[in-house]
Amino acid sequence: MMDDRLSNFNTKVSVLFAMVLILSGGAGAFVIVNTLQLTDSNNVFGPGFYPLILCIMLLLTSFYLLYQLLYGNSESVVIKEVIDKAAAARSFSLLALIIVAVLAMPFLGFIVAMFGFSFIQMTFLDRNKQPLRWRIIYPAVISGGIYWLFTSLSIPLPVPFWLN
Amino acid sequence: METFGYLIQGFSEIFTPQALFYCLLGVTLGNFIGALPGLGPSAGTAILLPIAASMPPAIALIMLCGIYYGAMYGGTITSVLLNIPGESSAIMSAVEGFKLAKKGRGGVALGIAAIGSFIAGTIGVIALTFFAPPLAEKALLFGPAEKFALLALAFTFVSSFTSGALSKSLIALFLGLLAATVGQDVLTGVPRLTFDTEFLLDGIDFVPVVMGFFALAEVMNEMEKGEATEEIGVGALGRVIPNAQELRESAMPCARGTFLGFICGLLPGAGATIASFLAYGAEKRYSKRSEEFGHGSLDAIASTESANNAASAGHMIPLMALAIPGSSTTAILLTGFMMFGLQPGPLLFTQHPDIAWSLIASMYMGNVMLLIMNIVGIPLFVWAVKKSTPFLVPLVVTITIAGVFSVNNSMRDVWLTIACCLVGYILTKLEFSMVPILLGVVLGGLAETSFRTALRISDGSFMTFLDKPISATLLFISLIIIVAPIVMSNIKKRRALINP
Repeated sequence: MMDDRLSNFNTKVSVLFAMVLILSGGAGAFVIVNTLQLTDSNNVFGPGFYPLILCIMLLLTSFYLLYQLLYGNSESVVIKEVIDKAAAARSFSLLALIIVAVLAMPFLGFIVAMFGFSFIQMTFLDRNKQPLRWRIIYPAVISGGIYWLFTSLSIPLPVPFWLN
Repeated sequence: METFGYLIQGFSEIFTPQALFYCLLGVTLGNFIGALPGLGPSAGTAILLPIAASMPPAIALIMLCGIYYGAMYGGTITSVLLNIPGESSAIMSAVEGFKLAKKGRGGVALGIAAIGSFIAGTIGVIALTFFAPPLAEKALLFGPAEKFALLALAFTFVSSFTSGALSKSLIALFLGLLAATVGQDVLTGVPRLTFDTEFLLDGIDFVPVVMGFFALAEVMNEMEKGEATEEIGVGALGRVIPNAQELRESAMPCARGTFLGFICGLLPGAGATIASFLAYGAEKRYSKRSEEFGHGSLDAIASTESANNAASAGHMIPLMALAIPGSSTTAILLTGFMMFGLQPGPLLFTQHPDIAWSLIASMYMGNVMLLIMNIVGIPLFVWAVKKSTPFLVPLVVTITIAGVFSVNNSMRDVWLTIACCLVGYILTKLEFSMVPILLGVVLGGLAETSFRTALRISDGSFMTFLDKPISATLLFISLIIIVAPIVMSNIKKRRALINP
């Protein structure tokens, strides 16, 4: 019966993540016990006491989740939606693009980095591709407009380091 | 009645051009964000938090709250006319409303929805006016033990009412609470769970968490939709102002929806979406015209739209009186309060009555503005939504990065936001609810301080939580909320075994 359950991809992912949770809860508890005081000088609870309780609760609930997945009422806890790999790839490309833009920001400044981000997003990662003039005008308006809005509220945004 | 005196004081403070402008700006943005599919009120309030931080507190909070309740009105427009719910609480309005629009009665559906929303929203604010201050006064008597018990009750409520399995919601809650402990310990100054890095020494601030979970992760979800959107069919608008008969017939559904919605609003975790589904179900049973359900029912629109607006007003009561948010958007509003060093709850009404009461007064004004806007401005909103949908992703990402950077003027917060976005996206894919995590991060510090202070006062004895009647009762209710569903399902299983 257990093998049946594990043959499903969504169940495998759910079980794997439950194990990740258990491991991180255990690691957290280990770190806390080793590095933080559980009781202070007056023998009342120190800085490590409360996080340790939370780690133990996390461990207990994660074990319960694993139990539900393997032996209990797994329909209520297993991932229901089919994971669409192509869709996830699009989302992660967007995240990668954001990371590149943020990495480039100290060198290019906010306006240029975000203009580049918006242009590339609208060119390669947009399901309704706009005409070229809109893919240039619109990113220019938002990156410039938001820079102007923030600086006029006297909130500074990154400028290229060679302009500083 | 001193409440009236305070309320009049509040009104006199918001009748300045600046306050009225930001109230109008907030509700207009809210209406628009509610109508936009792919951008909800939580993302809308989240991305505007840093901009609001540069304004005077009362004005900023008036604007942020305007976005919150304005979004409940806006969701209806695209549901009825384009069959796209802008908001999850408007799904039932799309089911019934688009069929009405096909019959040429889309305008009346929106008119009834606007009037129902206005009545429910206003009744909700009246209840807020009279219930929140006395409730806050009671909470003033709470010591650390009672405070902790109240937070525990709120956590269990949210974990058990939010979508998904209880075990997953509880895991999400503990993850959020643990994230709140990262950084220097408030009471002793010892760095905790920082893994000896400077990056985590300042802790995990809630603004990057909110922006990562709700603004960026929502954009990542939006990217999943692969195919080009089809040309959207627009239902006919027709006449907007309902006639006397339609108004008379909608009165009872509206009243029932308001009542149900308000109760859902009071319970943390229940909220506008559940309220609208419950109201739809109840109306199907009690309506005199139940045969119309599924073919375009005006009663359903009146009831569900009243319910989601009443729920959003109801949520403001625990938020303002007890500092307990019941949904992700109210949790973001709470971070808005905390950003200005304001602690909602008992002290808000005694130390900052001007802010509390001008906020309440602005909600009356905002509902009037929204009523007018949703009767006159519908074509404008439909046009704006259709025009701006393709540009949503670059706009949200650019505002988010600018906003997060501006809070502490540091790239560290931007990286933390990106990390939170990744975590939030993966957890959503694994079908964990985001609301308990957010609540844990936002209220975790307060929960820990109350817990440890209570134990310090009692010299480490846990009996302090059970000796005090209020805290014992609250903890007992929390226990029942967690245990009851498990026991019930076991009883059901046993019965099924005995009588197969």
